[in-house]
Amino acid sequence: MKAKKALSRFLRWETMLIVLLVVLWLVFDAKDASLQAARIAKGRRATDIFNFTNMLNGMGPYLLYSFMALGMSLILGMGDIDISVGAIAALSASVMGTVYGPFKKAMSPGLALALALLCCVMTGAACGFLNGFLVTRFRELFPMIITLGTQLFYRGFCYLLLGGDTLQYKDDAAWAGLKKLYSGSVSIGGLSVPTMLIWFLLLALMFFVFLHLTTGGRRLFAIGTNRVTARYSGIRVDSFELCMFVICGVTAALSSMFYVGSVSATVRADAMTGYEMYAIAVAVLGGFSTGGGKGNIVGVVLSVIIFGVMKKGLGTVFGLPDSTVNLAVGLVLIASSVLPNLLEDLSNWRRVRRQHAEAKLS
Amino acid sequence: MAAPILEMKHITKIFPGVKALDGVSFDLRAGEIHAIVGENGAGKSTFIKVLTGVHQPDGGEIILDGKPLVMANPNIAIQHGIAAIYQHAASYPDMSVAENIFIGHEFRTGPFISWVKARKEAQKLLDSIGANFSPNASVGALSVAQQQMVEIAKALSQNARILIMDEPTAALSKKESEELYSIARSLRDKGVAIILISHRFEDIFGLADRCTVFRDAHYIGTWDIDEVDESLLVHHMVGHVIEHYYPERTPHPGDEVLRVEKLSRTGYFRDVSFSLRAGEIVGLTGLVGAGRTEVVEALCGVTGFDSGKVIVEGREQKYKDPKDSMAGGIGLLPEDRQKQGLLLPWSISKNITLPIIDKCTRARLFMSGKAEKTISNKEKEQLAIKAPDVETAAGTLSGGNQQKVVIAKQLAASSRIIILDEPTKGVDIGSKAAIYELMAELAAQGVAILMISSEMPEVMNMSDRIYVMSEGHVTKEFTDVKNLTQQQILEAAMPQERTA
Repeated sequence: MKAKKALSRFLRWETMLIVLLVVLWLVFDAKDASLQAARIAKGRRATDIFNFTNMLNGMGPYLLYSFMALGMSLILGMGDIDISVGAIAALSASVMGTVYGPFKKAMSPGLALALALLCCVMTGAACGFLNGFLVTRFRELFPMIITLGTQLFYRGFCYLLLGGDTLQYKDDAAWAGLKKLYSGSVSIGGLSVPTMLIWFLLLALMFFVFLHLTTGGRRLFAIGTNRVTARYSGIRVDSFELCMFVICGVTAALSSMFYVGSVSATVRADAMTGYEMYAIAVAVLGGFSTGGGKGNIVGVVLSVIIFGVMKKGLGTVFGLPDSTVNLAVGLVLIASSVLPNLLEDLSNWRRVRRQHAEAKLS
Repeated sequence: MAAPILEMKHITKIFPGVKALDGVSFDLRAGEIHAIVGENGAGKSTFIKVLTGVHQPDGGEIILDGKPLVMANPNIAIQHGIAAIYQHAASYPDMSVAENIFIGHEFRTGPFISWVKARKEAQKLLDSIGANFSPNASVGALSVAQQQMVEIAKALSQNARILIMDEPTAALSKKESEELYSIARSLRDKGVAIILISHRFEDIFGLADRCTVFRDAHYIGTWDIDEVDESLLVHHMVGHVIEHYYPERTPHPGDEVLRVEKLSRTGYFRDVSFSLRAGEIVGLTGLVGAGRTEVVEALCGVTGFDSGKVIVEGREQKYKDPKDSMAGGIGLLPEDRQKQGLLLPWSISKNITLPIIDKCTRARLFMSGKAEKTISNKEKEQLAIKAPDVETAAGTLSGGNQQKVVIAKQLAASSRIIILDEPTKGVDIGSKAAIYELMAELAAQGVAILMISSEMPEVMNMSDRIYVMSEGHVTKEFTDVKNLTQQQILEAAMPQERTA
């Protein structure tokens, strides 16, 4: 019994992800070492490109969609999907950029930026609210179609605000502080850790507690498993679902703040196009399925790291162009979604075979 | 005695974790109606799926017309004239009757489908079974009984010699059932062999020539129908004699706890009034589609109502969500336990505590596994839910035990009014008796129970009072249940124009 429990723990999705991460790491590290050896053989100076410090400091680009992936996990856990988060992020950033100018004239730059950031979050929440309202009000429509519609709507709204221009506040110290949001780091035990990673881990911890330790998480997975039963069991499905969409919108707005920092504090209407797909991919690799009812935030955190390691490793160590990297990432994603089903088939097949053997004996 | 056209010898079928059939044998003669009976999980459905090529047996053989046959896929079964008509007819509701009948084996002229011929042939088939609707009608617009006729016509169009009817009368009224019986008899007289799967003794004794009993994946025996009676069949199905099927009880009705006055919802029900007292079991019966489920869903806040009053323990209520009615002390056991009552992949424990998760917490926020376990273990013991432990997934339980888990949810929520919608539907006989026992116990404790049921014996034996609904109205209230006949209830349940 104990051995069985240990085995089932080993077969848990998160364990698989750790194994995948270790394997990837070892492969990239070995390749990196062989590259260095080749350089030394040619009489050049060895440069260690793939190591922990480099990876840690290079996480930035891969953390931009990680906030969204947390929000997306809630949505996927309920069996819904939200493909408008990229557009929500763009709209939140656009609103933030647009209101900052007038605010700055009326008050101190610091206060203006704080208010602009607040507007950014409010915009994300409002967009999430609209998504949630439409999804819960029009049950006969797929969330995919509804959020496809709102995606186009939000993106269109960005162009309405900004046109085709790039919004920028040159020589504005407060606004330029956004850059620090993205690139800042703190030293922990001699290691410089990006602040963005710390923000992400803090948020992930909050999501973990909510999803796996509180009644809210239980309700969420109940809805994802069977919405009708959940309602008959005294869960206010519609309002709960609406709240989750709002939270998802807020995580998109958070992503957008860091994104603005990553592109030298500029705002464009076409920002963060396609980020929703990364968010979904990370959440799915993390163990959340579109079917709903299952998933673990630990898996999402691991999957964020795996995505980063893969992109970094394939891109810099193997020197593959970005398009090919995407191809590889896509393959891993497909394999990861097929694998659980294959494993279940295998275990069923083995059980039947065992029963056959028993039947023959008796 | 004619030689059997079909013999199934020592069929064994194994699924992961369970032996669904264990050396089951069966024979079928041309021109007979052969009933297969057994409790849920006895292996009837698997047996039919093996016969129709949906599942491959792991042992045993199928002999058709004296020759062994490997039923590798459903097409082989169809080619050999074996057709099944399922409870929920697998038809295409948006297509016409003729299209449904000939789908998959259409008449062709060159590359085109000849609909003219299809319609003509469909008409012939419909006439042959006495169906009086047009082959052009859209199947979705037909009644359940008529849809079944379409399925029968479809089977005949494929020259079926062996016809399998799976719970054919489950959704039919008495009159419709009679019509189906006469179609089945006329097919039998033409030499078609019919396998009848049914839970209803009226079907078995009214229609079948022979009867085979399965129990726990085993073959128990085959009898001519006049060799057995109801109690003997039950004995074979259950394996032991059930005494006190309906518990003895003396009702002590207390105060009125629920009163519904002139409740209406456009298109579903109109002017429905009834009342319920503490410690009382009240039956709400009628034909399928009479609006019973709709009324309780409206009063519990699942849907809502347009006009009328719901008075719970003296206060007028208009619940907007099941959460509100639960807070008001009303527990609703929904009609479909798998789709509405349970989270099948979840453990018994998590299912039972779902309505009261706020109580299973530390600091009102964090889930406490210990509290959950205590509560669910208590309920499991009280209701005698058969499972290794409370961590067992609800989906792996038998129908009866699943139903007990749903009831446990209402009890854990300490409901004072419990509404049971078809509490024993698809539940085996042993569990049925246990559920009746439990209802009696609850009523004795002062819980008010409203039971929706289509099963006449259950309604008549369990209820203190009976309301009958027909076409969205309460047509009759019976207070003297002891001296009631089934006929009286049926008359009240029949739609007006038919009895007139």
